[in-house]
Amino acid sequence: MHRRRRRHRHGGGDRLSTDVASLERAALSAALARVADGDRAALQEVYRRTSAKLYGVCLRIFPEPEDAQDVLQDAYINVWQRAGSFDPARASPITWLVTLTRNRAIDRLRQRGKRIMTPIEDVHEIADDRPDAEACLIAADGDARIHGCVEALAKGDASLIRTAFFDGATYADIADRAGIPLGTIKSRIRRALMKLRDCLQ
Amino acid sequence: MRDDDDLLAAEFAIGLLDPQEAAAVQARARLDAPLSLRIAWWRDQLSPLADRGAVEPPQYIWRGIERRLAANDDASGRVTRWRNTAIGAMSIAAALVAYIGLAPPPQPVYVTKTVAAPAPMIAMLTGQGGSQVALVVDDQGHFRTAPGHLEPGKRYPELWVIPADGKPRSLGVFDAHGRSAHSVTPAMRKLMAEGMTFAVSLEPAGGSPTGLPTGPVVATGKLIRT
Repeated sequence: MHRRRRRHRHGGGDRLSTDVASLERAALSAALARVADGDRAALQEVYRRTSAKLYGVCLRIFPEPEDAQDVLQDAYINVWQRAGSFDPARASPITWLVTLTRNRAIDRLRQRGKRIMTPIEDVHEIADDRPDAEACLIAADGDARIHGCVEALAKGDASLIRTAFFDGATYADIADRAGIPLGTIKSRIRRALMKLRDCLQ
Repeated sequence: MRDDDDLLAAEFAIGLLDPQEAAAVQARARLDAPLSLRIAWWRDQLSPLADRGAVEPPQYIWRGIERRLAANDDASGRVTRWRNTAIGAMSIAAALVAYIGLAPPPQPVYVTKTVAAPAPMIAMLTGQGGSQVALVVDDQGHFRTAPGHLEPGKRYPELWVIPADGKPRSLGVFDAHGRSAHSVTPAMRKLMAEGMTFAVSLEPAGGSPTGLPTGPVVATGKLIRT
């Protein structure tokens, strides 16, 4: 009984949310195409549809609202300039927008030479006691696998990946911050990336 | 795909490489289609990480953007800046063209703002079941098709251009199994332009009987100038 109800709710909900997501995606792609033609109203539409999400991305990288807001503005100016390079056959519009926003944020971090010297959380925790298969099953339940797949990594590895992703930290930066030799950090992150790939595929 | 390259794609997409290494990967990805596709895959997978929790930005942000757009209007950047996109559609399409064996365009594709003579335009049409067709268009009304992967079954691939009015115009049936060269009528030449969308549908022998696609559209893509 419980199983059936769950499956029912899950199945229907998934289909509906898939439909909504693909409509949203189509609307966004169409708006971006008009932005590429120089249509400002279309940029406003893109903004209306995505600014809350992209502001969330900015705040994740720059917790101070002032910086996050500057990055958000830069990002939309960049959307205006580059919409012509968006190819709906190649990337989802939201991936394109998130990648662009994150790149602007990381540019800004680097421009400032902002080296965040805070230690990386849990970096020395490398024991992985959760079986991968189970963790990936948990991952498969949500809509974005990546969250579950990063969770499924050993804690220390997960925080290394997050540091790289959110701080724009290179191998060398991470080695500095974690106080671990470069070669060690590289092979550790590479192993984590391969696990991540296996989980994502 | 070798494991090494997949790792490289992941490292590049996350931003782990130092600037010189990243520049080298970017340059390589222009000519190495599997590598650029892996970078696109990793970006797609990773981007939800950044997008946890939507926060409504304050109202004045949009007004600030509008003000900056006005200031931006006289800057010439808009038209040309897309060329600088790191691994944009252009480089992926160019990479795929090279990958499936067409002669690479005569100009290096990473020329930025100083392109003198018009380089050919290309599109990588992709879609259902991994279909891939490269399209190369010059400014004299000639184009070439090169299927990378196409399974037409008993049907024949037909190429369409879809202008802003959304109505597909046929460019004719092309060879599903090898490269072929074609010309367009003078009236159609203005449609063979940068930014246009192209599509491939599968049609009965001789092409669509109705003048519009009747079979499944198996690949689409945008034409870009190299």
